[in-house]
Amino acid sequence: MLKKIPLRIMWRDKAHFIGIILLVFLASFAYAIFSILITNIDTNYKNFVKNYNQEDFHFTTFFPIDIETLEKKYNVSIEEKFTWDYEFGDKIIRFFNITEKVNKPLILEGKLPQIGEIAIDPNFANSNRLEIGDEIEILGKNFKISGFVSLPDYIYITRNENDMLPDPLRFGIGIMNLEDMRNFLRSIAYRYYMVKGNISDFDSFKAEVNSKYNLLSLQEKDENFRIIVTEMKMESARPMAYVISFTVMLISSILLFIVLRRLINSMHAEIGTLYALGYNKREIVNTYIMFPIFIWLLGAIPGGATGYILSDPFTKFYVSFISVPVVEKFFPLNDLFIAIFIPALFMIPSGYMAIRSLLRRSVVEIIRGESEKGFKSKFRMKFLDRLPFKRRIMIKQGLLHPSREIVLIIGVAFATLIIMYGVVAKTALSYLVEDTFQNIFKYNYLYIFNYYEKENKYPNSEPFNMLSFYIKGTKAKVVIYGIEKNSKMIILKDKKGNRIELEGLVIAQSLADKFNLKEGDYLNIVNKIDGREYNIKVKKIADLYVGNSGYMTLDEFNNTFNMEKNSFIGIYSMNKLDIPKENIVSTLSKEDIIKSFRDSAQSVDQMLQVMYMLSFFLAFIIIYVLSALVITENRKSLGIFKILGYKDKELSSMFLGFNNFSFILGFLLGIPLFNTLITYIMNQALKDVDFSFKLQPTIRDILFSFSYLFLAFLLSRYLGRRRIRAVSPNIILKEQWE
Amino acid sequence: MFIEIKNLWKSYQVGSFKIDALKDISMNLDKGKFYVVLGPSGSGKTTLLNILGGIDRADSGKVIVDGEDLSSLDSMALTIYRRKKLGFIFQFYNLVSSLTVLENVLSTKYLSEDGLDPKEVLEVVGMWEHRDKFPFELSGGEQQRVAIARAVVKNPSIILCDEPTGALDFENAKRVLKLLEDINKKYGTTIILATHNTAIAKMSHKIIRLRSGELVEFADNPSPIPAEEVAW
Repeated sequence: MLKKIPLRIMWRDKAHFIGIILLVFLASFAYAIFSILITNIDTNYKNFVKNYNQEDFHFTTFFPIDIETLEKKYNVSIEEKFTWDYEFGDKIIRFFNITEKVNKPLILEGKLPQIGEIAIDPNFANSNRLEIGDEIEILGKNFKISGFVSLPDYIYITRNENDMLPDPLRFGIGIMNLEDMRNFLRSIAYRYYMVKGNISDFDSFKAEVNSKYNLLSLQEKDENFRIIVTEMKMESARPMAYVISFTVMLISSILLFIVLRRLINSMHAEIGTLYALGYNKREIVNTYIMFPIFIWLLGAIPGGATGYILSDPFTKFYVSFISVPVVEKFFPLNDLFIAIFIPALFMIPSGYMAIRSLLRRSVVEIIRGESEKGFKSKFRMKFLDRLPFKRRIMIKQGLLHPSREIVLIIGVAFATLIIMYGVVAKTALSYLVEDTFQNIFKYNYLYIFNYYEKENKYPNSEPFNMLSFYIKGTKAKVVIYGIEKNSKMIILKDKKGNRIELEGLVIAQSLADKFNLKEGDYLNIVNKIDGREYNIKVKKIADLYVGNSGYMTLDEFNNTFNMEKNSFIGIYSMNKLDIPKENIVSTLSKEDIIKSFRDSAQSVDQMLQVMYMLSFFLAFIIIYVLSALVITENRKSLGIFKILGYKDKELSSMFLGFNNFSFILGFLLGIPLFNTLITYIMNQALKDVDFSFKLQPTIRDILFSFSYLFLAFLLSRYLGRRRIRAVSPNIILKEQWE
Repeated sequence: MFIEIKNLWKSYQVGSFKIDALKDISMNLDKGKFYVVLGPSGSGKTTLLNILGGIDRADSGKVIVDGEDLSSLDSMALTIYRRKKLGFIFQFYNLVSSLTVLENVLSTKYLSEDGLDPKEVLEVVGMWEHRDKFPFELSGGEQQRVAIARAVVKNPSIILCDEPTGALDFENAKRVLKLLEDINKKYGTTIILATHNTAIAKMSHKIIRLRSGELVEFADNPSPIPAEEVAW
């Protein structure tokens, strides 16, 4: 007979229980979806890298190398690869020949291309509505699309090496057979060598290649943006995913612990009566333990299952950001198991402890219950006596239940962290586009030549030089540019917005932040090609957040790095220039960059929506459940106050008003929490990468995040007030008689 | 006339049964008098008090208090009415358990613009010494005295008492009655006390007797006796 009690009570007080069940749902859902996502991405990425022989580095030389000799000598696999850009309209497909040893192509759909066929990357195909079987005309010859392909050295498909975001509408990659490719390789052939394997004496390898074949460039995997961005995104996504899922789980569990204790205590009279009637402890425990069990089952199983089901579209959605080819889908049952069972670990023992502690008292005490039990002298809080009555009661409410307020503070702080993560990332992107590319980089086009030039033949342009370095003792890449002293193309400014007079080395703020450099410090760098070391004093720090970069005047640059006077490798230009293609290595149009940022911002927006929903739901549910708890617990007092003539609004501010402080405190704590997490991600996950973002929340970000979470707060407050309105003094009096 | 009750009907639906709690009650009550509503359990005493107190509504009929028709007031206006005019005293005291004695009294003092001094009121009921205690630290009689102080402190024009001595022993019950009598005399407060104890009726100015929801007697008591002489 007793078995009917839990479900009947839950049905009667469903509004109250739905909030708790939703919390368990959220905990299991968040854990399942994020952990399955991470497992899928991690495993697929590792398999892809391993099975398709991702390179360890690649290099270019002036003369063709003797592959076999080098392979034998250094015990590595080396494969030659050709690449060629097919431009049509404003689009480019970068074609590669099919390789067999290193960076083997992975056919995601369809088959490897035969002669007269090509395979292209699915994002480009998707954006340009190309399907397998379609034909593309390339310079007068028709090619059939045989399949969709992914390349291990082009996971993050960007046109230029340092582009921050892919632009699948305008740029894609493809593969074709070398025989087909030879038709297009005449004058603008670009050949490089990919290497798989570890070389113990890397310096002597470089020296040998340089002396025999004239080494032009070399890029290790760690500094290859097209490879490392994916790893970097995974590294930064992993802590975020775990932090989100574990914290949601932890907050929900603590909240459940509090709620269950109160729930069990609120049923003291009937538990005491059953005890008095002769039921033993075991029978009572067996009945009332069903509350946490039912709540757990109703929340965790649908939550875990929904997370499990949605993990597939979520993974697809997520990999579109980080470009990991998902070959095989994993549905790890252990992740689902953890997602479902962890809430039970918190809930069932806390429910059991609550029942046990109640049953430890005498029958009379149980029947009298918690609400009538003694308040110790500390609850008198005489120091509050000077305050007006309403405020005094409000503060007392908060101080009497510190654990609830702590949960609320932690919950709001965490919701703040999640929303700030999204909002700040969006601001950082638009800052980059609207500020950096408009106000600092004034040029519209950038051209990099094949070889050093000495005379600038192009009007409305400025020459520049550049070299890549490592920071000594790290793998972090730094690019130093030599630009004109009073450049009209690059306007470096300090934090106050004043133009920096170029004298000595001026470094970007992002580089200074990453290595904790101040003006006057020395930057110890190593030339990537020839291994020479330089120790250069940092003269100024520019308010610039793109990459690890530094600037000097062109003359000083050439002088410092022993380059010929007046030599330069590229030019910045306001106008599109007609430079013969064979003379340039790469071209960059600012308009294209901005366009691709704006396009990418749309997909970032989708990610943001997930962040928005999660933070709103989390903040709302925590405040709502705690408010509901306070109202349920104080029903009698609320009824009495109503009889005495208190208005609903007054009661709401007396009983729920302390939440205002906790909400604000939680939000304020969320800001340093966010900064700490971002610093952690920047320092740990991105420390060796030439990547930086201005991820400092602006006042606008903070105000927006606050307003947004405040909406969740107001909604829960509104629902709380509705619950207070529903408390009928008449019913309270009747219950007393019954 | 201070309170006018005209053709008051109130019924409750209990399962498939309809119970008439009040049947066509009409009466007029004067300001500053001490009324006792007499009747056994289920006679409609509490329902009458709840309607007078604005925490329940009549099905039909009118209740006009100090010129204000309660049936025409919305719930906010009823709250204001309770706040300005009424004090309540219940059988089970209904003190707020998390507030001390003084705070319970202050909780209604806060609502009134011309309330009495809480210290004076607590001294009158003999509870000033216990002002920092919580309700659970008090006996039933003491709790009821605090409830009286809480009702009185905002200086209401009416105090509704629902079986205020029902849960008390004889001595404490008499002490409570004495306090109510003193308040009636000292502050001119209209007191309407519902009880099943016929002995208490002897101290009232007027007796309202209910039986099964009907008004069976509405009679003056020409010679009310002091509370000290009430005995049962």
